[in-house]
Amino acid sequence: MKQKSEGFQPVGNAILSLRTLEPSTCSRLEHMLSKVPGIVEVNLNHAADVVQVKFDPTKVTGEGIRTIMKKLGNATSH
Amino acid sequence: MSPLKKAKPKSVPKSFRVDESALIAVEKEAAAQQVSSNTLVNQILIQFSEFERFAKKINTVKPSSFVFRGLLDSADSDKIIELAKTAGSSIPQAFVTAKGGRVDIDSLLDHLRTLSLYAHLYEYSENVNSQEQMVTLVHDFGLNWSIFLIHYITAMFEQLGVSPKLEMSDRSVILSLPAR
Repeated sequence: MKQKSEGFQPVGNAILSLRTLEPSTCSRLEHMLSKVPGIVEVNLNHAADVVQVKFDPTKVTGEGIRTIMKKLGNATSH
Repeated sequence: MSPLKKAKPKSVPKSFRVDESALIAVEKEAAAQQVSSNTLVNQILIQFSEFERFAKKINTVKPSSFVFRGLLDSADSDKIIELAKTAGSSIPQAFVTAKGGRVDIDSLLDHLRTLSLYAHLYEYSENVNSQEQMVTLVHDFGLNWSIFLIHYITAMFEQLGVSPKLEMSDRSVILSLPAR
């Protein structure tokens, strides 16, 4: 297996659906996710109904981000 | 620049005449989503440029998720596997060739990202570290969809002589490739 140089920085990308979230949650999502440690970039795609997230996988995981979004959705619907 | 940061794509000014009804629909949707009409129109055009114009070349249709899941649930697993192998050995290659003119590991992974981004076939996440590239696909379409994806992905990479490590459950598929 090829080994990368010692300076290699792990990269994480996620594409997550916005379809389960209320529009009011979507509008706050970018701000809320960007405050999560390890999340580097958040791009809402309203035409595709998804959010694209770049993250540092040593600090947060795709599943972790999915869980945060689920909690946001639940908090809004209550 | 950090691999986590990417330069913003260049934007250029351009004016078009459009049907008034289309403009009203875009402005209404943009207001509902609390974004500018410019942002929404740009995203619609990117979706066309990155996906729709190639999807029509492979005769893509758009059933509702309810119908899609119902069809998968009612299908025989052996037929699903047969279909996945046939589709996986031709459709991704046709799509990425039309899009970028080359079939390699990166373009096939981009195909998997595109299907998440614009076709909502699963949610996509990937971790790239010094040892491997691990991609997780999460969906709500049941076991037959995981079975389809496993065989579609296997057939897709087989064309390149690449065999990713694959795992699945009834709601996810995980594939791992060695670092390149």
